[in-house]
Amino acid sequence: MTPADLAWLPLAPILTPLGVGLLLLVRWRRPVQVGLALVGALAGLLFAAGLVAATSGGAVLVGSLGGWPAPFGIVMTADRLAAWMSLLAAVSGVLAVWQAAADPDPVREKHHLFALLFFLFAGVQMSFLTGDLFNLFVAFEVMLVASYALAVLGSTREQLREGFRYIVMNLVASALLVVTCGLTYGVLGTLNFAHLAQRSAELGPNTTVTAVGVLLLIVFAAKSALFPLGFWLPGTYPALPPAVGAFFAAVLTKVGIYALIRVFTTVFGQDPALPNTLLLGLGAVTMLFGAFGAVSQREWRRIFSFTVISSVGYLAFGLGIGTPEALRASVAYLAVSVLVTAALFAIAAVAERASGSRLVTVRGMIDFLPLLAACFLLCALTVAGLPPSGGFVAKYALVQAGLAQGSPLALVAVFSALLASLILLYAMLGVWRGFFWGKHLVMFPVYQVPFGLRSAAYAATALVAGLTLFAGPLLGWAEATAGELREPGRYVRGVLGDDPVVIPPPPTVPEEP
Amino acid sequence: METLFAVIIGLLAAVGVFLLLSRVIVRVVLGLTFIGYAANLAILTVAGLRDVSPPLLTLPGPYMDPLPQALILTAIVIGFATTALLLTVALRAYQVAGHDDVEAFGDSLARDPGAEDGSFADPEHQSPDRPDLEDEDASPVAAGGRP
Repeated sequence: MTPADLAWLPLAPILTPLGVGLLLLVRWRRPVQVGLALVGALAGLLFAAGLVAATSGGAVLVGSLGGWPAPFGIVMTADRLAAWMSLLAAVSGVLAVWQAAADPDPVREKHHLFALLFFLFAGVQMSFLTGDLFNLFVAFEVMLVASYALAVLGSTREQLREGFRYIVMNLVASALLVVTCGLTYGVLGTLNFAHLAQRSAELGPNTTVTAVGVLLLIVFAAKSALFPLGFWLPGTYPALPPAVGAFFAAVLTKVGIYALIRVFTTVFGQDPALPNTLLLGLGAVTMLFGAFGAVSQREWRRIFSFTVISSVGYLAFGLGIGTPEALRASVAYLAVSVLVTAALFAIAAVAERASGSRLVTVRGMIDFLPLLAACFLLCALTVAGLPPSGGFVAKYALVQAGLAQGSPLALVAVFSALLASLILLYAMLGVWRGFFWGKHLVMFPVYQVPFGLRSAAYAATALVAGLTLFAGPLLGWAEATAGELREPGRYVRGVLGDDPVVIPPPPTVPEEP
Repeated sequence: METLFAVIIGLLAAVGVFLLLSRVIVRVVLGLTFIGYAANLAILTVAGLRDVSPPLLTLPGPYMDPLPQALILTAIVIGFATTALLLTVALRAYQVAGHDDVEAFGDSLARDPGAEDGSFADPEHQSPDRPDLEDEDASPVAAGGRP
């Protein structure tokens, strides 16, 4: 099939969760609701997999809303990177729905937990698949409004505190994004990514365009929790219910990273020096901040929230190096990071339930949860980047790319990456020693965990193990993606066609009757 | 004209940031609203302040570019929704805590999660917020330090 026949496909992963979310607003009985949610999540996964299959040949799928062609209307586009992110988000979505289904929460479900989750999925998919800067802002808002509601759903005092901080932080960032959209339109006269890329390439290196790019960098750094702007994250994610927290941690920061990749490779690629330096520096600090934070904590999901921050640092580091090899490593690490975070949060949910405590200092749980201990070990090795894990392959590629680039800042960042890995390993060992190792004390009770919750953790870990086994194909896909990102011309031609864009002249004034 | 708008935008943003730094929840919400206004005016200014016709074909040209206004309309609608949501959260916090201050959220990040009595993890560097009033009533050793 030609890309034109598949123009509906980039819309499918967005409309499916939106429709299912609307259906879930009806007060069905719980089995119906859970069944509908699972079917909806799996359908979204199917469409996302279809997108990956359709773009694997290098095609750029474009769906124009209302039949208005780019750059005049809003388009949904899917290239390799967008399809890949869409697939990762859909997988995390299935895992989140699975956990929510296995863990009944009557109060939150009465107030539309499942419907809000699906609106969140719709916003995330729209952020990945949109081809327009202002529509990206709208997608962010769809995603964020659902996430605000999920963050405070249940109104515990902790949720209100962290939710309020999360909402205020993101609203300020969104206001900055709106201003930046306006500035971009004022400078370049368009908002379509492909058209922006074309026009900024015609302009060449231009300080105003670079300034707009740096403003976008600040906005997306706040969304993806890069160092000085990531203070809201480690408090917010542990306050959420486990299933929701797993999806937040796995995907929401990666939306910011995706936007950074899209903006600084496809759109504003002509003057990369300043953004790359900033990303490299911030990434180097962020990974250390996350690693030290993980050591400092004693609660399951707080530790893992800091590992999320650390992984964002690695991704910014990879993007900041700016070579094709580094981009390849970043794309591979994105997959590793999303899946391992989903797995770790699923494991944390089981562990918290089994010990009845949010703390990791229970000791001796390996007697009761041997399979979970094995899962945790694999995920811990992946986070720390030790062989034999997919995390090792991706981090090795990152460090190699940093050494190959060889600028002083890149070398400092490589050192910081290695140090952060070591500290993360120490933090993971702390969890292992505190929770699984040692002798179990009789005074701590051990609770039965529902099978559904445990199986979600096992399934997520199986995906992480799959990344390890299929690291070759993963890096091959990442290489193809990076190659496509290095050539924005393909994306531009895919969206705008081969002919130059002609702005029609203003309409003639009709004669007064 | 642009200078006047720039000054107004700057003032609105400054007022917004000032209110955002307050400890009173409603002021924070108002500050965000001011920042939203500043953003909308900025889009209007960036798109160009020209004395031309609105984009209606019954009027003689040249016409104003309608796209920035569409952007602003979208931003206003989204800002309305998020402000409503934030006010709901503020109201809920007021109902839970009984006072309109960020203290209502009971910032207990510095508490030691391992201690039953909610004492501080690091008694020498307590959180700048006082602990919850409820907790003070409940436990005799609320001011920090292990018994």
